[in-house]
Order: sequence, then C-alpha cells, then structure tokens
Amino acid sequence: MIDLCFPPSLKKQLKGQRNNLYRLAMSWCGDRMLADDLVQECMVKAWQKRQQLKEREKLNAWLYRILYNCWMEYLRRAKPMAELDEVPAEAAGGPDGMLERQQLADRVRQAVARLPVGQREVVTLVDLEELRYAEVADILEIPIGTVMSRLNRARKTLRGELLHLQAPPAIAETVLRRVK
Amino acid sequence: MKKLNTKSRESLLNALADNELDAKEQEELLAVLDEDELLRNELCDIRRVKDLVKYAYPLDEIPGDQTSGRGHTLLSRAASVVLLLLSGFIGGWALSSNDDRQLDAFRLSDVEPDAMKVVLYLGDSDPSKFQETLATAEKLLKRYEQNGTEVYVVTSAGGVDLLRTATTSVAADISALKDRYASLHFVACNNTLFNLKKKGKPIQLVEEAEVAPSAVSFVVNHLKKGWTYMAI
Repeated sequence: MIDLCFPPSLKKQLKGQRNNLYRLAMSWCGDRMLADDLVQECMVKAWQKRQQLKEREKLNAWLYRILYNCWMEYLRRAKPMAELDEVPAEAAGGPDGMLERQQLADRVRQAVARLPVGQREVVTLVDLEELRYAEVADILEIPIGTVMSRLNRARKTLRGELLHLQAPPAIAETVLRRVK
Repeated sequence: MKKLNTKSRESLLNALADNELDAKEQEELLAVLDEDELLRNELCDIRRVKDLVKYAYPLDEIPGDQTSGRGHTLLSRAASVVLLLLSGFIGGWALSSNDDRQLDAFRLSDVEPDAMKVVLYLGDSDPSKFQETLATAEKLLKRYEQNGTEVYVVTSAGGVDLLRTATTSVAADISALKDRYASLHFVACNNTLFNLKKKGKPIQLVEEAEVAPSAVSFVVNHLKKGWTYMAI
C-alpha cells in the first residue's frame, strides 16, 4: 500500500476516489487483483503527476483518465490470452434471496464483460461514474459522437442480453400520465 | 413532430436517459414520447439497463484496503439501498416471495440531514401493508407537522398495487390523506408499471399518484439530499 504524501485535502480527495476507481477498474477487467493493481498504479501516477492537476474540481475526470491509461497500458503489455468474456463471474453464495441477487449481478457483469472494450469503458463511465458524454470523450480521447455510438451499441447489446430476465411481452394498453 | 430515424432515435433516448439533452430538446422529445408508446418502452428498457449495471457494480471497499478506515461512503450506502430496492424488483420479476420485511429506517450520515423528510418505501402487494404504509405516513405527518415534514410514499414491485386502481383497497384513504396533507406524495415506479403493462395488467393509477422513472434512482437521489429512508 503506498503512503500518499499529498497535501491533506488532496490526499483526502484521492482516498475518497479509491473505491470508485476500483469499481471502474473491476468493470473493465473483471479481476479483483488486477483491478487493485490498476488502482495502485493509478494512485502512484496521480502522485507523480500531481502538479499537472490545475483544477481541483476536475480531479475525478483526471483520475479516470490516468486509470484508463493504466488499463490501456496493461492491455498493450499483457495481450491477455483469455478474452474478457471468459473471465469467470465471482461465485455466488448465501441464502436463496442473496443467491438470486448474486446471480442477477453475475449475469449483468458477464454481459458487460462480453462487450467490446471500447463500449464497456463508455457504458461504465456513463452509468457507474455518471460522467457527461463530453467528460467521457476527454478521458478516452475520442470524439463525442464515438462516445454516443459506442453507448448506443453497448446498451442495445445489454438490453438484448438482460431484459429477457423480466416479464414476457404481452398486450399493451394504458398510457402513463406523468413522468418526472 | 417529424419521425425520428432509428439512429437518432436511439441516441436521443440514451441522451434523455443520461440527462444530456438541453431543456428544449428534452421538451421536444417528451412530446414525441407522449405520442409513441414504442419509444416510451425503449426508454424504459434503457433506464432498466442503467439500473442493472449500477446494481451489478456496488461501490465496495477495495479488498484489504487499509486507507479507507471511515467505512462506507455516501455512494456505497446508496448502493446498499439500490441492493435493497432491487431485491424488491427481483422479487417482482422472478420470484413470488412473500418475505416479511422488518420496518427499517436510516439516513446517510455523510450528508446534511434534511429534517423530517422521509421516503417511505413499499415493495409488497400485501393489502395489510397498504394500511400500515398509510398509517405510518400519517403518523409521521401528524407528529412532525409543525416541523415542515414531507413524506414520499415510493412504491415498486408489488408495492405499486397500493396505487393501481385495479388493485388498491385504500383509494379513498389515499385521497383523504392527500387532501389533509399537501406534503404527502405517492410515487409509483415506471419500471414496475412497464413490466405490468407487458404482462397485460392494468396500470391505471389513483389520481394522487405520480410516476418516477425508477424507484431506485428516486430513493437514492433523496437519500443523497439527506432524506430518511423507511421500508415497510
């Protein structure tokens, strides 16, 4: 575990982002150890490059960008033999209700893991980190139109894979009155 | 309104779900949605996928992380609420569980509490819980009326039966309560309603009901603002 010697407020902010970074890394690579390594590497790089952070309010996007670069570097370096859709889902356990929930979460994670890397990155940045399209475009260094098209494709695939878990189609009728 | 081609339609719906449209674009698209049931269904699907992705990746602590000693962050707490609510949704989708939930209340400690603001969640179609929900809401409103209390009764899964005209046994009570307390609101989850509609079930709601796109998002957003959460 690195000892972060940042000025106190920045150090606190960085620590506060660790769990978000880890979740994002997990959604990209599907492996706890690797996600942990990526977050560690990201933190080290953030420390080394801290002078480059001009606007503190952009810390999150800046960190996601560093994490993304670490992830890309890993993919280039490792060229993993196994496709990410082969990454095993974590074992489910516990009582029935928990098992059902765990299975649902596993199925979602498997579906996300099967997405092409670019689509997976976009959908997780938008849905998990709730970033604006423009921020995602900055982080991934791609045009905003590409963000939107990747998101469209990712969501279309996920809809096809996940929504069948719910009710079967039947006759439609009443119209909703109000949507907030 | 001109007909949207497939590509722009998908992009627009995604942008709407992600809150990326400006007010004018949003207004135009909502007008189209009003006339087009297929589009509304697509929007529901997109929102459900967003909820599912969030649900699948809760904001856990990093295993073995010694640096985050304060425990749960605001978002991890919120994620636990998502988990709690989704358990209700899953119950609605896949199981027919009739679990007896304990009355549960909490508020995120990481946010500034907003005094006496309560989200009362019902995810069960048991009629006895309808009465319990209304009684709890009234008790809160009565007790804290002077403090400017506000209560949202949020329903999803079986809980929307409280607000469906075809299933509720307490329509008159809802109406009377709403007349008495302006700060009482009833909310149904659009995702649940959509599922019911797919099954061919009637989804006409009592007049006092409002519809939120997703009960999960609704509750989490209010928790982030300091509201107290109670489950019936």
